[in-house]
Amino acid sequence: MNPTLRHDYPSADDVQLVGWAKSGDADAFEQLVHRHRDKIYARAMIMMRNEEEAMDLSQEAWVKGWQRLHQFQGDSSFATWMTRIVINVCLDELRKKKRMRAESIEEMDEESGGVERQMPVQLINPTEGLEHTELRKRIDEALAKLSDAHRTVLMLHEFEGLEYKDVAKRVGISIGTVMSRLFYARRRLATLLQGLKRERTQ
Amino acid sequence: MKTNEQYLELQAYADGQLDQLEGLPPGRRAELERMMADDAEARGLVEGVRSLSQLVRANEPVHTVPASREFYWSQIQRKIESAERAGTRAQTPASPRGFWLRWWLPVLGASAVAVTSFLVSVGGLPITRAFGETAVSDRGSDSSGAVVFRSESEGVTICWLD
Repeated sequence: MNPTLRHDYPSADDVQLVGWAKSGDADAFEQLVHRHRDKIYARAMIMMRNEEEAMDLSQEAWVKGWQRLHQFQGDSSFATWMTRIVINVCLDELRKKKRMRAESIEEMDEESGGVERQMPVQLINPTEGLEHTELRKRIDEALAKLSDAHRTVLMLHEFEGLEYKDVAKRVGISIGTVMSRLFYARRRLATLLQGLKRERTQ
Repeated sequence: MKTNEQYLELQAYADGQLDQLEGLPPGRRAELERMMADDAEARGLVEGVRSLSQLVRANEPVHTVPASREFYWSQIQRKIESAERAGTRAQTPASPRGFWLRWWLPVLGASAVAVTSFLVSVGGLPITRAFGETAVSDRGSDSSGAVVFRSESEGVTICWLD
């Protein structure tokens, strides 16, 4: 990291900051980190469900971001590019810790095609009337109760907006497995949120 | 009650991903649409998937870094510097001194030991003769078979164990 000419970093947009950072300006990169750190950390937190791991992996993603900055061509936004990096870092970690496999007999049954024996997704305004912040918190709590494998597929499809084939490619599973994991994750999430509705009406 | 395949196809329909399914028979989309028109459970599933998806997307959980800007950045900076140092070490060619120490010193040492062994075993030469007048030798006892060579001018001591 070389000391370079200081610019007006807070007023600069991401494109300018990336340009300066590419030429070795660490202060410009620090500004990018400051701008997007919560989003990148949140992705890691949703995937890992552990504060310490999320801190460590989000920082690892920023290190990779700095090292690969010359590869960033601006086809997507800088935040999207960084999000992709942190997701890959977390996926690698989950694979390393073998947390991406089906974890129970129930899940193995679901992966081999047992969804027809399960209650379909049903959701009738379970969160109606909840404050936005409270709702987010409840959804986060429900997500935490999913397995890593199910939560990852759901997150990639819902939050990253990836199509089935792209989810399959990123995670390294078949489209059929993506579909069944997504179905199971939704069914479980719907059940957890229905529980929230019951809890609130009592 | 539907089949596993039907549930998953209905979900794919709700997600707008039906076209991605390989080997989907032609006319399957129309079949699913007919199913939804006639069957409340199928309709409920598609509506359920869509409303849950909407709810989750609109309420993405928020987490903030549990550390100050300075602390978080200092840790990243440390990791970057450490990675750069490791990368530099891996990429930088060895300095001439390092190269000498790594490759030639062991080779010369091994050669010296080999020559000494050869001269002593083949010629039966006293160690003093082998290393000339500057050498000071001390033949160990016959039982131990140890030979010590010291050159004052070179400042070198070699101990050879038989």
